[in-house]
Amino acid sequence: MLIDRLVEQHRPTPPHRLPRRIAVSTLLGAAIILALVVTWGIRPNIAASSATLRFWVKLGFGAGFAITGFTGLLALFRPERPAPRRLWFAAIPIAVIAAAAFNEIATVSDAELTALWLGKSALACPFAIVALSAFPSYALIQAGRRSAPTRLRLTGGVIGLTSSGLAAMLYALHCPENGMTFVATWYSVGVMLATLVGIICGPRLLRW
Amino acid sequence: MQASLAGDARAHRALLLALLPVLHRYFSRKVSNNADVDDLVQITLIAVNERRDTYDPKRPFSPWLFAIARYKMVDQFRRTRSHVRLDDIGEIADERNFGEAVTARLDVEAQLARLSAKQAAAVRATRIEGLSVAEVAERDGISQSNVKISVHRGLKALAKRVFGQ
Repeated sequence: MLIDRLVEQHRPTPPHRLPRRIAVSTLLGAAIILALVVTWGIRPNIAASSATLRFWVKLGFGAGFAITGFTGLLALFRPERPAPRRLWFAAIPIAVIAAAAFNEIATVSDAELTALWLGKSALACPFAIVALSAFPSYALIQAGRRSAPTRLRLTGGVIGLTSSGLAAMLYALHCPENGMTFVATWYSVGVMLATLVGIICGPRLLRW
Repeated sequence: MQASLAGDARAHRALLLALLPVLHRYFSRKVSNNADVDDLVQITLIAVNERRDTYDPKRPFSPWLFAIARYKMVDQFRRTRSHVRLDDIGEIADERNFGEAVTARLDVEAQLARLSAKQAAAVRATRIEGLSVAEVAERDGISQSNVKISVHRGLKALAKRVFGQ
């Protein structure tokens, strides 16, 4: 009988196994990204730039998405929980970077603004973020398949958001650009692309 | 559930046994085929067993259980494609212009009711049911020209009523 078979190998379930699984996957992905970014090279003037506010805004932009997404997944990996309202916290990094970008537009001359906005790596940046986000995405999808998400599209999107948030945060350690308009544009494109991929692939990859 | 999470195999067994009738009743209400009901009960029991770490002991049990049951049901329907989710029926009907077809049909019936019985029967048989004039003539035991005239007069009257008002 089915139930006999299921009961046979019954083991205790440690409490908090689900949140721990999500955290381990996220940290594993973050560790791989960090290793790659360090290998690639930390931005040369890190000591000087880390004293500036813009450096921390840049780092916080990705971190905001990563934290929001992570707490979202804590709910989404359980079957019965409604769509978590705290996902709206993703609006905070958007608002901060928008304010910083408008401030830059208002204070900097046009020629300088273009230089800041495009920098030297405008096109590389979104693709680097999407590529790096693949590692935590993979780990989180594996974790998701062993959990019980029931909104696969939303969960896929939030996995993309979390992963690309992490990627954006850690990529900022490498990325030598200083423009807030740069972050507002190219970092956002990377995060949006990864989230979109998650939304599209979620139902297929997360099925259980 | 708490005891079963703690690793008590007897409690776990009792829990799964208690879920059997609950799930059976749940799926019976949603699925017509008995074999499908049994499959779904088994699939859900396995999922409950495998994914019990997604249950949060601080929250009520039954929403968790039925969320899994519902997910498994929808997933199963998608796999086999033999059923349609209730939520999707409206969409599918829209896709096939179901609503329009129904109202058009009602309009036609209302208009036909205003023709003479003979004309209405001839129009319905040749233009809606798609029979040939010869078939109608044979079926109703009248001449072919009689059928043709009825269809012609009937359609003319309809056209006058619909377009000429």
